Amino acid sequence: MERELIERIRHGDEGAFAELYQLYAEYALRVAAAVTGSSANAADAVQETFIRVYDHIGRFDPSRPFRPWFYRILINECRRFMKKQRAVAILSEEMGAAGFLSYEERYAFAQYEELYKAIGRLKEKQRIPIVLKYLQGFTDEEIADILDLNVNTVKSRLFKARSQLMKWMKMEEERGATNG
Amino acid sequence: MDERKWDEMIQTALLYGTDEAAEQKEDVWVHLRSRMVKERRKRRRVGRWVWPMASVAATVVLAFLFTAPGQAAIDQVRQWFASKKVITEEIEGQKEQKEVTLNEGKAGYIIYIDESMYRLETKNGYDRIVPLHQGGANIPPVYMEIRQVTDRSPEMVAVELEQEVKEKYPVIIQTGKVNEPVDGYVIHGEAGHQWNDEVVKYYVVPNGKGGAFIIEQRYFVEASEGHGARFDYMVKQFRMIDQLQEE
Repeated sequence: MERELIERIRHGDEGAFAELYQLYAEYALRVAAAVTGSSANAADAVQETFIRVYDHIGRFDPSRPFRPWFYRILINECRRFMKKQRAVAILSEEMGAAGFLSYEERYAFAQYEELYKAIGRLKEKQRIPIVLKYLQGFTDEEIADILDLNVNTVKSRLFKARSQLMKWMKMEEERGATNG
Repeated sequence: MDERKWDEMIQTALLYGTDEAAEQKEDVWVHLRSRMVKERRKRRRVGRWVWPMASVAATVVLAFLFTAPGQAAIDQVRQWFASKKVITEEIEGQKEQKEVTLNEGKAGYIIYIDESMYRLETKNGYDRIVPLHQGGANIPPVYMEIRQVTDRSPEMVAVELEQEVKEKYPVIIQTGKVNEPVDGYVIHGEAGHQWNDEVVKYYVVPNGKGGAFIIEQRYFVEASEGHGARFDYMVKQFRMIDQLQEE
């Protein structure tokens, strides 16, 4: 179905482009927000990505999968925005209100919030593979393709990122326990 | 910690943390579409000089020129906007996923409506979004009416409506400029504090040509968190066709 959609876009079908947007936009915005650390940058990066996709769809090799091609453009756009605004990619945005949650849910929510902030503290080279893996379910090979890296480098960065996150979360837990 | 659980935690944290960004989907689409229309027009202008009548683009231009303008706008809107989509509404503190359907109003706008609860009808020549099931006779009518005025400025309309609401409704909730759910003016009054007291809320939205769209909401106090909230979610999806075409 996606292949057919891309083919229609290649023939200038704007309706097909709108369908592609519906399919990809939500997760593109999530990935861009987690990578850049800002919803505003995410909106700009996603907009530029779709413009580029539309303009350069002729350059896409239809024998290859579309998703990694799309995300390669998106990650490049995210990097461009971060560089442009000298954004320090700290995921500082607060999560939605947790007012209606039970005590247990609130506890879990706080943990997720901490974890999201911790992901934002990772170095960019570790954060991007983590975001691609966990938000998009890309395999290590696909991440290597998107980021133009060796698969072993991706594996190593994911391993280090996960260990770092676990370490930070343990520290956070211990701090919580000490504070009573 | 168990590996799988840790993986799930990372995934959930990323989903929670990026919910706000994901909600921008519609706004990004509107900007994106507008940029693309501008680009296409620019290219078309250049194309006319460089390859007059000789390309596929020229055929497209001709097709556009020979289509009735109103119909062209509607067709364009149909092509650019999904006929159905799913949005998240927060009603009485609960998040709900709703499938909404694209509707075109007679007054020159589009809006997405949850057709499992509402329908668009024409009453006294005006577009009205009404619940499929109205309440009993002791309950004030519930509807959202959308009309366009071309002979008065948005400011004049807002002043008139504010005066009218202040005369009829003892409780004034809000008046003045707003950015949400639309850029314009709001006048919001209530007949009292009883559960079935009538509520009126007007949004006045500049139409970009010196006139305005008036969006009138009617419901009752107890329905503020229900119909009132749902109407506002619908208003958030309101787009003027002329403006879409000009963009």
